[in-house]
Amino acid sequence: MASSSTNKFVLKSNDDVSFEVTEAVAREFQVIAHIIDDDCAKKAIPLSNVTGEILSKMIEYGKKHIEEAPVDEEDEEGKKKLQIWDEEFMKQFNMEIVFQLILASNYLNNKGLLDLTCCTVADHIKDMTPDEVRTLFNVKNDYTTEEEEEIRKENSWAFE
Amino acid sequence: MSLQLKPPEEKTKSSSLPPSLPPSLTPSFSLLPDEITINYLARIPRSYYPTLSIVCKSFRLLLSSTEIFRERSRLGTTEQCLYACITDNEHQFSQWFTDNRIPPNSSVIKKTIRPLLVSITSSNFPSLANATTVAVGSEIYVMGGPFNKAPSSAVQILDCRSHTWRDAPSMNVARKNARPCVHDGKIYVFGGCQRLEDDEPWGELISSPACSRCLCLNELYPSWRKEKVAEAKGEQQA
Repeated sequence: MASSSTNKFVLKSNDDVSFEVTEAVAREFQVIAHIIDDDCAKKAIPLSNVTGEILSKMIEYGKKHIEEAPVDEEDEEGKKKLQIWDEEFMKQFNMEIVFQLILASNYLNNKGLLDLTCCTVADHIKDMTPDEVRTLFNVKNDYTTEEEEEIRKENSWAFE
Repeated sequence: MSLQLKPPEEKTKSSSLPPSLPPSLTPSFSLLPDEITINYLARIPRSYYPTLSIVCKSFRLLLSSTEIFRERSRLGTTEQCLYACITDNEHQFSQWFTDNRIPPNSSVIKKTIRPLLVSITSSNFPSLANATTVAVGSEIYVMGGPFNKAPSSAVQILDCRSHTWRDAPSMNVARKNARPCVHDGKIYVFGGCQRLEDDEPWGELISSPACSRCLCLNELYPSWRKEKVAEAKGEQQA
């Protein structure tokens, strides 16, 4: 039986782009790991919610985290190096891509990437006004004028 | 680099895949499950929460939920906050405040002079205060009296995450200006009884998630006498 470093799997995006990855990289995504364990991964694994563009970025992240994984818990230098790479990795994306990455890492169950993308969102929105956040997130203000006034009063110091 | 292959002709299906989500043309964060919204909101310092609460109702609900504070504990993003209670001599009118930690570089806040403390408005209880308070984790315990000048056996807890009060099991005796002490995560109160005889409960262990009622120390430790406890407390404070 082939070892996980030589065993290859094909991941196929919803726009028909296929990627051949090692078993170790495929297992970075828990949903795919389960498919492999269930012996359902003989042919290409179709991922109906992920585009090729997003999947290629997720594989890039998965590969890096396999290749550069810190030796152990004590390996502070290794952790730091990976953290710097993570930060640089996220800088290339606009919020629309970040949003797609969140959905995809949640769908494929990669906790590391989900945490990283959530961190990017947190940094991005914290200094925004409520209106800016609504525009970015495409959410409607569902307060009545009176309700909004009431909440602003409760926290009047924050809006002075 | 990922190797791009020709798409295979035959499509495979797997029952292990989660059900498909509807494709979204415009990204909307309202599509995200609550657990993801909580994940990114829990990474933001708490001083930003009043501003974020204005975004929409679901944000406000999540920002005061127990889940978000559980997530903050998991992520290690909990913060130290100062709480103060200002009260009159007779403890009839009191108000709790917390420190005004304005977020740095916030585009929302322009003023440079700001109040140091902001008042906590609580929907379900009047503000309670007396001399016997301790903070454990994210909760402040207010134990006994004076309440309207009289001793009391009531124990009330201010949950600093949701800023709500709740009742805890009462003490076995009514106390006034008792001395609180936290040791090993457990809360003890000493004295504050009207007439204290040796066989009376001079101290109590306050109820906790592990024990649903307050326990009298003279029953737990029959050989201890109040003088010894007073002595021990003196040493601890020195």
